[in-house]
Amino acid sequence: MEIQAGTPRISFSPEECTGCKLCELFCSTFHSKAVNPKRALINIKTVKLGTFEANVCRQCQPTPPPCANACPVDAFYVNDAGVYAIDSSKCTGCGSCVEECPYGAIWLDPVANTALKCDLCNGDPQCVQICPKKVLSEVK
Amino acid sequence: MTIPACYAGKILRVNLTSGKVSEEPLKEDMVKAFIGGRGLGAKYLFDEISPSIDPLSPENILIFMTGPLNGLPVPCAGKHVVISKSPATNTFLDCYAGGFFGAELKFAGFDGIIIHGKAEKLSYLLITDGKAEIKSAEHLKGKPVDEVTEILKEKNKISDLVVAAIGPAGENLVRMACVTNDLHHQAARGGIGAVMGSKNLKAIAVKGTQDLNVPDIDKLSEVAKEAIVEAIKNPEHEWALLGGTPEIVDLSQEVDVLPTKNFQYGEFEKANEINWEAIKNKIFIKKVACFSCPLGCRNLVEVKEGPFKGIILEGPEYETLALTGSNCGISDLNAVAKFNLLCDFFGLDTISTGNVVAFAMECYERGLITKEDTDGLELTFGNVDAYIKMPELIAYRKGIGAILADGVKVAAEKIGKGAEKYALHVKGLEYPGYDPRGSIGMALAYATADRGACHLRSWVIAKEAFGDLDPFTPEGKASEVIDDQDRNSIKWSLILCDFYMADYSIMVKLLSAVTGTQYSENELKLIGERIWNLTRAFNVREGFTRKDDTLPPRILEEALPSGKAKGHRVTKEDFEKMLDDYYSLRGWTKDGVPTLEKLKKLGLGDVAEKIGLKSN
Repeated sequence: MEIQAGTPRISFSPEECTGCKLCELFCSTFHSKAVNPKRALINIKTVKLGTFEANVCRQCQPTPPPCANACPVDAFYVNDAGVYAIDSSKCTGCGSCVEECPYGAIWLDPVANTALKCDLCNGDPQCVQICPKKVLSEVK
Repeated sequence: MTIPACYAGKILRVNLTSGKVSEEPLKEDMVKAFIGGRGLGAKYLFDEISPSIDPLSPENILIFMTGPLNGLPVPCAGKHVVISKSPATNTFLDCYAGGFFGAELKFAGFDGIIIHGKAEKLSYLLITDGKAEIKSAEHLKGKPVDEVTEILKEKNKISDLVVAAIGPAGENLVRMACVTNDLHHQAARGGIGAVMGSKNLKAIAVKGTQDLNVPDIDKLSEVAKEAIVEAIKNPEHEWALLGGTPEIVDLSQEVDVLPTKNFQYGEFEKANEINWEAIKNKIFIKKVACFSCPLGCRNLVEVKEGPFKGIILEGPEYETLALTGSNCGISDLNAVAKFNLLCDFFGLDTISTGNVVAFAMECYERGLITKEDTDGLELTFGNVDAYIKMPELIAYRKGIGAILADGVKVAAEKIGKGAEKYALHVKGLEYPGYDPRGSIGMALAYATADRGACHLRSWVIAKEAFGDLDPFTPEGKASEVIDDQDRNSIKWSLILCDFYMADYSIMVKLLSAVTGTQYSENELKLIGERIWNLTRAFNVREGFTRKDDTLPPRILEEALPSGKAKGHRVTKEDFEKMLDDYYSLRGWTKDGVPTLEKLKKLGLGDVAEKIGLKSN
């Protein structure tokens, strides 16, 4: 079965990205209620000096996507934004979804040890809101 | 007060002599009085080193410090500070660098690092999530910063490791050696990299994944979002979003303060070849930012033609364009970019390096040094071939570089023959990119800056030559300089970037939101003044008084020959008047020493005692 990017999802245009990490900061603040960009559900990677890549869930089709299929404890659910999210109270941090993701867009929270995947902030993505250069947008 | 959770809460102590690392909690009374960054670092330095020590001896300490705002989702909090006693000036020294190092250090669990002693062999410090190890850096000996950064990432298998390192200049104790972090961010001035080199410490590499906390995260988020939107909209930040600091080239040229050919002129006939327009047309690629900065003033550039084709860097900033461009008579922008890159990776401060090269060029043209001294180099103003060799010669103390590596003050002493007339410095720190003859308040700003000639503590030119105040009158300048110095003292304790036009109301809002304690503008003003007096007290303890708050001969004696400031110099009378006003408004003696009463009022009674002030 072919895997395609779904909608809605976060889209990134790298040209104007300055690498300020405000997206990671506000994402992690919103989700973990602590300040820690390493706990963000989006990761801005420096490919080389001044060149950045955003690693963030593509909200794969078909439904359910490989990550949700791989979860042994049923921690994935569809949220109000219409995308798969992870219930961290159920997640055991086994890493099955991390392994299954073909894009490497799921990782484990370094503090809580639960899986992190972009859930579009349940409908109001913080990264899109804060990005000073508007390089992040929500494809609807 | 307990220590708020926006601080990591811990200081890392590293003793390189014994090889021991330990941690200690931040002290509540110190945090309350000095906040963080500049203030806290200054207090540690004042308390922990003895007066009159050699800055390059193991007795000196090297402090990396952050503040309560670093790492948090607030605008423009990407800087950290490196503090020590300066080997260039023997004064207090604090150097600020942007990038990602400061935030990473806090996420690794430390507000600061205090480094003592000297390692037996070249070493580096690896800090990961609350753990610190001293490791061998013998394999990094003599390597430039870009290679060191790559090697440490690979060796430790951490691709996002953040590295602050010295280049060969720091290892060779060059007194204008910087510490470079994230490749192109420098804790630049006063030979801070030489202090690191004297300790046999090549680099500090950090990775952190720990939480910072605030009392009300949703409230902070709200306050910060508002501040970020306001910062982007504020017309005072428009320059940052567009050209960044290179836009100042045109401003300086217009008002005759652009250092040209070792400050012989205040305007450069080829300024339009090194200004923002030139950068935009020839080498600009895109804007880049430091951690948490919505403005992103930095320019990523690539040289697209000629012998330096292919080099990519963040820069050159205004100071580099002025001191290594016009001040050296260099109008080849590609060469300035290359010189900038060489300084970054050899680990040299571009301001002091530009100065000392310009000084050597003038000495050469006047016959004070000859081809014999330069090993055949035709060291004239504007000669790119000779100019481009200088960073390496200085960093390795080779050839003429051996004479220049300790800065213009020492170089003038070595050369003799009246060379001090051409040495632009205060207390041994070279002049920044604003000629005070076109904006007189800068003379006072440079003379009274605690680390020697520095433009950052008070950039009063913004109000004078670049603003509405008369740039040639000494009247009213002391109070402007004092306001700037006190405001920046608190701003750099939080630590917010210089380029963020955060007034007291913004600082109050952000600090109150992250700590959960409601601060007032007056409290922050008082803390700023306390910190300024503390660093002055440090310098007084080292023997610095009014006699050292000086102007270089050229600024006092020679009038600018052309441009808007034609015929202007800073007369002794005007300068002394500004100093008198300044000391009087500061509540210091006529000799520039803080009084016992003043220090006590600022809560610095212990400091007063340590500098020998006693009540009768």
